[in-house]
Amino acid sequence: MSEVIVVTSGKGGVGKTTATANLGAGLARMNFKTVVIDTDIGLRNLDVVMGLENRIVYNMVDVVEGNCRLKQALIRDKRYPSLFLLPSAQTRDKSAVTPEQMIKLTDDLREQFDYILLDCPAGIEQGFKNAIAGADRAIVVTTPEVSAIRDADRIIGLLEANDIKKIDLLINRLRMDMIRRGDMMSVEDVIEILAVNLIGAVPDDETVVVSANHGEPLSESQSLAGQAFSNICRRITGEAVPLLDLSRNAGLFSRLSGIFHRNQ
Amino acid sequence: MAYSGRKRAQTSGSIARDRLETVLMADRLNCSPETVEQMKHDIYAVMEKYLACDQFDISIHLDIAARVEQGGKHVKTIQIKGL
Repeated sequence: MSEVIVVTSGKGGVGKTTATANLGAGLARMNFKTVVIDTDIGLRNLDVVMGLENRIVYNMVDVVEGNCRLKQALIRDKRYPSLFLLPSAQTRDKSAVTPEQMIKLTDDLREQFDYILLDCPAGIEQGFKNAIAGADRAIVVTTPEVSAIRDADRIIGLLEANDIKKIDLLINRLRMDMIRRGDMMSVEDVIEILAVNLIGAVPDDETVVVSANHGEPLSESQSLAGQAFSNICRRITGEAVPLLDLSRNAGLFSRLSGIFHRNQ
Repeated sequence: MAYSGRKRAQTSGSIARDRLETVLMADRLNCSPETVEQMKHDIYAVMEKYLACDQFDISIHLDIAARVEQGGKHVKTIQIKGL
């Protein structure tokens, strides 16, 4: 049974695209046939985060308008043969596609793929409505900050109003040092405020910026955030995985990376 | 705005949490500060019916806050604290 998952947040810049790219890579690593779709028409980013920006010939709008076949627009990932990208159009806007067209698109993709991840744009307008149209479930991405949580709450309300019953929360950019000092809300704080199931907590991690610079997915072994995303992929498939101990591992990684830098 | 029976040190994180709980309840209930003022006026009018209000200095303090408990079912409690 295929699953169509929309990755949304309301607030911009909290990590939806990074999450979509890395969850897609993680599921493909587990040998699931996975497609990630950039639904941010006019401001496409999923292609550049995945390092596939030079391989775009056709995009999602071309498919929906019948200018090409779906197969022609799908781009196979450089590293994972079972991962595909359906890029967005850069020179159109969100009115180019309707929710009904999105439902048809995701239905067509269900025939070929186990997991279909939709990278939703920020906001609650047409782009959001398009992205959620065909979704079975949602992953709401937030950071432990006041504005992000407020927007996440609104988005959760809109998802429930649109009959998306399975809603999971991904808390991104956690800084254990700040949480310990009391200067950042903790995972428990955020879950209690939003009252939604937690699918994972991802620490703030420099490797995210570096990986995006390269256009590569996060490494599971060299990156704490990468490990967190891998665990989230396992939870998406239904496996029960305990949360990473971010405080202990953060110390270990920073000490190890200190050793490597000194030896250079 | 502290919840009765719960001591929390006033770190910026706890301040953020308290603010969020109030703001979210206002968002969810569609309850703006103007609405709260209107409620206070209405409550005063009710009190005037039954009490000799002109003999006293009456101030009404109304805070809408919320605690969302997780459990088998999500229980949302609205606390209306008045004096």
